[in-house]
Amino acid sequence: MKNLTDIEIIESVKKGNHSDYALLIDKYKNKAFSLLVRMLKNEMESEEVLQDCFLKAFKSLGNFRQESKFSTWFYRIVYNTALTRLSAKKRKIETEMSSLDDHLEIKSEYDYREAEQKDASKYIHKLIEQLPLKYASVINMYYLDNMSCEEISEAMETSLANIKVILHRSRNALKDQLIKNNYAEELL
Amino acid sequence: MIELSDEILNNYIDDELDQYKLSEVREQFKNSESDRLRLAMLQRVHRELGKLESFEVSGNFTSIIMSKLQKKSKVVRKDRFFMVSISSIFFIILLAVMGYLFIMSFNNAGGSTQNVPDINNYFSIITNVSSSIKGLMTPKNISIIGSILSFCIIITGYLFFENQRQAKRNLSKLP
Repeated sequence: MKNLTDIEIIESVKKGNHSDYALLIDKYKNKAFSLLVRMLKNEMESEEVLQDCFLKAFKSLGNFRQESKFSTWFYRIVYNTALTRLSAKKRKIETEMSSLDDHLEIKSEYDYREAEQKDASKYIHKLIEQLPLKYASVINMYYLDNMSCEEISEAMETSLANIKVILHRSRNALKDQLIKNNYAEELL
Repeated sequence: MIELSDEILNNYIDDELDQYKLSEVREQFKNSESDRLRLAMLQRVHRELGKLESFEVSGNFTSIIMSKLQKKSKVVRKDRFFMVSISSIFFIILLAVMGYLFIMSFNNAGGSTQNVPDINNYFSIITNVSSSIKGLMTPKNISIIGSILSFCIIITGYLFFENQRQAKRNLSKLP
């Protein structure tokens, strides 16, 4: 396994060593796949979209100017491709995308008998699955991909302030659900 | 006593408070059990989000993309070869026509293909070539040449699109 940086791999691919592109695919496939699954809520479709994204990225590699990290540039492709796919499927995403003034409310469909087991961790992870598209994307990039808010704002082409608001609102919504479902005792 | 908003709690977790605000918030935690609880909840959420699980693509994902890329680059090479071949054929035809006109003009100027022409003959050769081209450019000849070229372009276009369609069919056969 070659131990190259993203830039070195890209330079090598640009020089004609196309097989080195596999290194980039291996590096980002699972992280990008996680983002897509959280956005599209369908693993098969996500894999198909991810293939398109890697093909698009390869084709546009010549346009990559190294002004940002490859990961940020690639996530922008992934995020935009997922949005295009969603709009093509005519899902009602407008309400989620239009404004941050929208009220974020997570309706817990968690079975109360299950909740009685006081497994807060499991409960939180169930709630994460219910986060709206934009919120799920920010959470995924921030926590799973360890991207900074600046990088996320660049990838999602949204202002830094908006990204922070989304991040805080997501946490607050999850926290409120924990309090509402009496997990406080377990945590104290 | 200050009121700790969710915003402040989030900034506390993200370590984005200045020193003054930080000491104020810490003081507040000492005095308020409900704020401590809210912070504990938020920290728990933060920790759990940090444990977010990654989904995994199928095992042969990388090889599928690489084979698609390989197919695509083959198609690009094939297209390039096709375009170069067609251009070469046109170029050769053009050269042949120019060569023929040149030889004809050279003979008309009184030169011989066996002897090296005198430098003075070049002017008359060039004049003859241009007059031969002018002679060719009659309305009738232009329409004939135009028809031939149009026919060639149509055939080339058909072959090119057929080639593209075949390449797309091959790509779609991939898993």
